[in-house]
Amino acid sequence: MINPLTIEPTEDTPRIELNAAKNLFEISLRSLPEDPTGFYSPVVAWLSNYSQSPNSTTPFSFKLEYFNTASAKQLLKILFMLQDLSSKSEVTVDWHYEQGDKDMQSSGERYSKLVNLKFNMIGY
Amino acid sequence: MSESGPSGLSFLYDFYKDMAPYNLTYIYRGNFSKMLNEGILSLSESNLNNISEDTKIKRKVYFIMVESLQNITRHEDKTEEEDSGTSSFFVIQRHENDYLITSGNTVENKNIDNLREKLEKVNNMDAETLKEYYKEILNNGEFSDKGGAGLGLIEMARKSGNKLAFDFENINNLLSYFYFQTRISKASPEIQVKHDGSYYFDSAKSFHKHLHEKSLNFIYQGSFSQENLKSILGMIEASMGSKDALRTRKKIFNILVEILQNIFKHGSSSGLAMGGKEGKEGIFTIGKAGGEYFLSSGNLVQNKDIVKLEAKLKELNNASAEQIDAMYSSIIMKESAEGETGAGLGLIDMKMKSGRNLVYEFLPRDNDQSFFSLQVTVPDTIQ
Repeated sequence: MINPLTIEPTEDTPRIELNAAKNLFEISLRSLPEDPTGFYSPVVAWLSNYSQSPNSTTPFSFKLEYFNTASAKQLLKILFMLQDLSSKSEVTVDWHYEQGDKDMQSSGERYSKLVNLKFNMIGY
Repeated sequence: MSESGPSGLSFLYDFYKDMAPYNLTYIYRGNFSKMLNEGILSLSESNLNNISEDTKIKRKVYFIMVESLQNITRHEDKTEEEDSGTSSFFVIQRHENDYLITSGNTVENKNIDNLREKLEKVNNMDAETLKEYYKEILNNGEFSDKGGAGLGLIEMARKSGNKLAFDFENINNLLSYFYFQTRISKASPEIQVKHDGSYYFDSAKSFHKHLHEKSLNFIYQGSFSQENLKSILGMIEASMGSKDALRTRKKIFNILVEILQNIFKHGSSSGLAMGGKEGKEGIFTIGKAGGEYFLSSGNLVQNKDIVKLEAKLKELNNASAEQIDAMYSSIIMKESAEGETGAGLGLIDMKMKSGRNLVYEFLPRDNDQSFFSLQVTVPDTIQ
């Protein structure tokens, strides 16, 4: 099985945990790097690797407090990869947002319209 | 060429020009806390590292900043929460060979004579006498009841090598405003011919008055980079009290990131100010009035880019919420494959999160460049 990918958070980059053995896929905290393409490239590489032989289900969680517009494009890129993956694995997206945080809620709603995936909107 | 709000935006360019002789200026006005002080220190640390300043000077600047900030929190005589010109004030500036650290806070009139006496005493001493005096106070344990402002002042005078500048401005029967400036010179004081201390001191005092007039709490002028952005965010987070709704804080945080990243990604690089090897130059301010926050940025743009930029801003201001949402989606769809090109997504995001029109202004500077001011309003979201 593919090795897990864990990236610890910094002031401007999120925490990443992608663990096929635990069936845990999560991006959390803040994402506002200057170069999101560089930051997310290991995530993209991992997902493309994982897609070769995915688990039967892939519950993917976004638990972000903030993300900048540059990260927005990378998040969509990840969602597109998950969409491709959904032919092989049952993919669900759990979009977490803080109760009352309308901006984060509408971001999730917007993404859910852009890709063909099952989205759960989860207010915490 | 402008579409300016009630307050107007030209103040940004005025500040920018006033601060142009300095390589760096940042100013905070408001309530100080330990957390905020840490944010201020981290911001200046990242700036000092960025310009690869001499370690000895760095240490002095840092020491004097810590003392000044502690003096504010320790000695400010807190009167009221609301802004009536009595908020404390902190400025750090760099000007060629000098660092200027200025603080302002209220003091009770009855304490002025004592404070003035201490300051004058210190100012009348030469390096050797100061050293002796320092030892003497240390040995005699002559501390003031608020924790040894005496020693702090002596140390500041010793480290700076210049006279301490100070002034008291009467507010009312009980209070005065105390301005205090320390100057750290990289070159020895004998070669300092360009400006005497009063030039710097008067300039810092006038910034304070302008900040009050414009209801501004924070100004940063200098170079912008991701490193500075992180420190500014830390500082702003620390300065926003629990009084502000979490939602407001998040909005401010988000918009701040977009505004600052906009400056260093799209700003034109040859500013008025010198120095700063990395990052783009510009100015950024935060103000609060009538329960709303105003985040403003100013930077130079190429004249040839204005038509396109202005068209984008007009389009955004005329668009409905649904249209904005569609614009956002269409850009990320188009660009997620290509990496980043940033075709105004930041502006769209600011408009979306603010829910208000973006206020902007282009002021021509020369044949090539104009000064672009942008203001984003963050409405109070407590409903």
